[in-house]
Amino acid sequence: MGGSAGKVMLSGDEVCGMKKIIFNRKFGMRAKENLYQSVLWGFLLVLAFTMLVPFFYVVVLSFTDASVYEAGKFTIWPRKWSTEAYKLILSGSGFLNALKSTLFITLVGTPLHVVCNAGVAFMLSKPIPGKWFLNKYVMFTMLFSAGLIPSFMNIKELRLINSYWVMILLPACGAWTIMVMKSFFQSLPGELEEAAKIDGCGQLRIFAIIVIPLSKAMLATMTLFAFVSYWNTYFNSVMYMTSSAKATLQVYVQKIVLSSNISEVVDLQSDLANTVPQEVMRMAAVVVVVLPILIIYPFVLKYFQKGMMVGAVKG
Amino acid sequence: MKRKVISLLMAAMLLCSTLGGCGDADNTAATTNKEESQTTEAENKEAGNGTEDNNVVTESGERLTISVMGIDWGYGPKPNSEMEEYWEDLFHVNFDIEWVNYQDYSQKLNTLIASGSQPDVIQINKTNGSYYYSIFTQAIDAGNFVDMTPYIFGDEGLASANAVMKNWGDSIWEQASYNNGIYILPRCKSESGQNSGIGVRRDLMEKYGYTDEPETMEELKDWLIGLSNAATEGEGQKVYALEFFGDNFMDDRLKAFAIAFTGQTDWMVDENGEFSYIQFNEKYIDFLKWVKDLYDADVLDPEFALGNSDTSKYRAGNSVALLNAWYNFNQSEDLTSNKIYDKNTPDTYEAWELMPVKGPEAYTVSPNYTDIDSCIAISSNCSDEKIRKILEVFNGTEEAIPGYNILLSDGVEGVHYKLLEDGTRDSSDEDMGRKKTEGYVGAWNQIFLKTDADQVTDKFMRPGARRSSDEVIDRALAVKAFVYSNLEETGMKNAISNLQSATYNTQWSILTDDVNTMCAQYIMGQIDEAMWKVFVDGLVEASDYKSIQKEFKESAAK
Repeated sequence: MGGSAGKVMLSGDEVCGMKKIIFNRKFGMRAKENLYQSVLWGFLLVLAFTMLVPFFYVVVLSFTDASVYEAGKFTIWPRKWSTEAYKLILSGSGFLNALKSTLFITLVGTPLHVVCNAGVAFMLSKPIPGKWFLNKYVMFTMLFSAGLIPSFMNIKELRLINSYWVMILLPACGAWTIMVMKSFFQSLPGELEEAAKIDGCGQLRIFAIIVIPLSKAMLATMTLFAFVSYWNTYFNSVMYMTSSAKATLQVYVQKIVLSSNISEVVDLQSDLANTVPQEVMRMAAVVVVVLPILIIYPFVLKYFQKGMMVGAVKG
Repeated sequence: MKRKVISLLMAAMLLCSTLGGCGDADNTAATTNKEESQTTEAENKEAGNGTEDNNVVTESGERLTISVMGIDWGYGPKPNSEMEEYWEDLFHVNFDIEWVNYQDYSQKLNTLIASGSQPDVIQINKTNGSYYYSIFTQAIDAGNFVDMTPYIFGDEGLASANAVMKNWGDSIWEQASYNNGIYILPRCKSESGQNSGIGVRRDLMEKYGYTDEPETMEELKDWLIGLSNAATEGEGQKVYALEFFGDNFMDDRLKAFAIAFTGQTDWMVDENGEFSYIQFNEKYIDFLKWVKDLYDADVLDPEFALGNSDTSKYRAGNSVALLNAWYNFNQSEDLTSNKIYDKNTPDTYEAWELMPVKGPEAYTVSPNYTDIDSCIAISSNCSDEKIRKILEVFNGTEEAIPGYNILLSDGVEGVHYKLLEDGTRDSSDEDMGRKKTEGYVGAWNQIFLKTDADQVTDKFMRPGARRSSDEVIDRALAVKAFVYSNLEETGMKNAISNLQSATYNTQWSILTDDVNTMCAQYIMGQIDEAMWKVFVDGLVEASDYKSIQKEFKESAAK
C-alpha cells in the first residue's frame, strides 16, 4: 500500500483479477445477450416460416402439373410445372368483364365507404342532439341484421337488382367502421378544434383541413380494409346480379374452380370439364385474387402500422 | 387554383362513375327488347289489365320473354351467347336467363321463392336427394307454382302427345307428384341403379391371375385382398383393394354394398307402414364388418376417410377397384372423355366393371333416390298462354324438331362443331371450342327436354365419337341388364321419396351427425360392436327419430 497517499495500489495479480471480472461481466453479458438474440431470432424465423410455407405451398401447387398432383407425387416442389390453371382462369372470356366489374366497384366503393363512414363518425363524435339514440341505432345494426329476404325485397323495390350500385352501396356504411372512426376522432385534442373555431372555421372546414390530415393513418387503414372488402365482393354479386357479364372477379374465379370438379358433380357433356384438378385451380385462383392486395399493401404499410392502434381505446 | 382543378376533376370522376354504374353493361338488342317488354308489363299492370302476367307479347307483337334460372355447373356461360340466340330464334321467344353456380343456387332460389320473385321457369336442385324440399313445397302450398297435371294428362297432354314423355311409365309421374299435383316437369328419365358399379383394373386381374370374377360379397372380399397383396408385391408400390371417397357411408358409391347386407336402401317401410333407416338396420353392422376386414387386412387406405377425387388412388394406379356409377368406367379409347381415366393416365391401365355381387340380403344394386334426371318448375305468375308456350319451348323433341338432339349435345354446325366426312362432329377448333363453352352447349339439356338417358350408347358408342371395344360394350350392357332386372324383381326404392316430414327437414342432419364418424371408428377398431349397438339404440329411441317415423307414416297415408 505504499506510494502516494489516497491512491490504492493494486498488485499485478489483483489487476489481472479485476480485468478478468470486468471481461467476464462484459462478455458474459454479451454472450447472454447473443444467446437471447439467437433464440429470439430462431423463434421468429420459425414463426415466419410457418406463415410463409402455406403461401409458398399455394403458389407452388398452383403451378403444378395435373399428372403430378393426381398421382399424389406432389410434396413441396413439383416434378413438373404447368401454367394450365392460370391459362384457364385468365383466358376465359369472362375474366376481363369480371375484372372490370371488380375494379369499378372497388375504385368507386372504397372512397365512398371511407367518406360516408368518416362523415357519420365525425358527426357522432360531436355533442349533437340525439347523439345517444344515434349511437345506439348504429350499434343496433352491428348486432342485428334485417335478414336476407327482407334485404332482397328492399333492394328489389329500390330497383337496384343487377346494378353495380347494389354492390357499392350495401357495404358503403358499416357500424364497426363508424365506431372505430368515432373513437379516433374523439381522441383528437379538442384545443385544435377550438383554435380553428376562433379562426372562423365551420364544422365542415374543421373536418376537411384539421381532422382529415390528422387522421391519415386511421383513414389509410380503413381504406385498406374497404379495398379488400370490395375486392372480395362475392355474396352480393351472386345474390343481386342477374347478368353474369356484371359478376365480380370472385364469382368468376369460383366458377372456374368449380368447373374443374364438374364431372364429379353432374353428368354433363364431358368436354365442358377442365382437366386441371380442383385443388390446383383453387390455388391458382387464390394467387390471382390475392395478387392486387399484395401489390397495394406495401404502399399503405406505413400508415397501416400507425393505424393498428386505432380504436384500441374505445369510449 | 390547383386545388380547385383537382376538386373539379374528382367531382367529374365521381359523376362519370355514377353514370357508369347506372348503365347496363349488356346493351345488346336482346336486352333492349327485354327492357321494353318489362316496361310494357309495368304499364299493363298499372292499367290493370286483368292477369298478373301481361308480358306475353312485346311491343313488336312477336316474341315472348321467358325468364329462366338454371344451374351453372361451374362454367359460367356467357349471356346472349350464339347458342342462346339460336334457341331464341328457333322457338321465337326471348330468354332472360340467369345461370347461377350450383353451390349458391339453392340459397338464391330459396330467397327468390321466399320473396315471391321467382322467374317464370326455374330449375329445381335436389335437396337431401329430393326435388320436393321444404321451402319449395311451402311455396307450392302458397300457390306460387303451377300444377301441370292438366297440361300433362289433359286432352292432347304431354304424357300422350310428347314423343319422349309418352314412353314414361307411371313411376316417373309418381316421383314427380306432390299432394296429388305435378309441380316439377322431368327433363329425362335417368338410368336406373346408377351407383351400382364396381370398377376394377383388368390389367392387374390378368397380370396376377385373378380373372375369375367374384360372385358373392365374401368372394369379393377375398378376391380384393388377394389381388391387392399380389399387385402390391408385383408392382413395387402399395396397391389398395378398394377406393371410395370420404367418410360418408351413405354416399351413393358405397351404399350398394350396405344394401347387399341389409336388403334395404335409404328408407324402407314394413308391412305395418313403419319407416326405418338403413344405417339403423341391425344388419348394417355386417356391412361395416366387411369393410373392417379389408381395413384389418391392410388393403384399405388407412386415410380412407380423407380421400377425395382429386387425388384418386385408383386414377393414380394405387387401387385395384373403385366404386362408381356402372357406366363410368373406361368408356372410350381416347382416354380423355371419361370420368375416371384422363390424358394423364398411363396407357397400360385397363378398366373393367364387375357384375353386381350377391350379398346375404341382396345384390350390390342401389336404386336411385329418384329416376328424374333434372326438372323444372313454372311460376304461377305466368298466364295460361305463357305456360303453354313454355311447355312447348321446353319440351322439344327430335320428332318435332329434326336435329334437336344434336343441337342439345353438340350445338350448331359451323358454329360449335365441324361435320367431318366420317360423320364425326369435330369441335377441336379453338374458336368453336370457345363458343361451345360460352354457349354452355351440352348443358341446356338440364332445362330442355332430352331423350331418356342411354349411357351405354352415350358413353361407349355415341355417334360422332370414338367407339369402345365390343367386349367393353357387352359388359356395360350386361351390367345394365342385370341392374334393371334386379330392381324390377326386388321393387326396392327409397320409401320416403316425396313424403314430407317437418322434423326430418330440420333435425335429420343433427340427429345423424355422428353416424358416419362412428362407422369410420368401428372400421378403424376404435369402437367395438357393443358400442356401435348402444349408439344406434340411442338414435332409434330418440324422440326426433320417432317423430320422423310418425310424420312419414302420416304423409304416406295422405
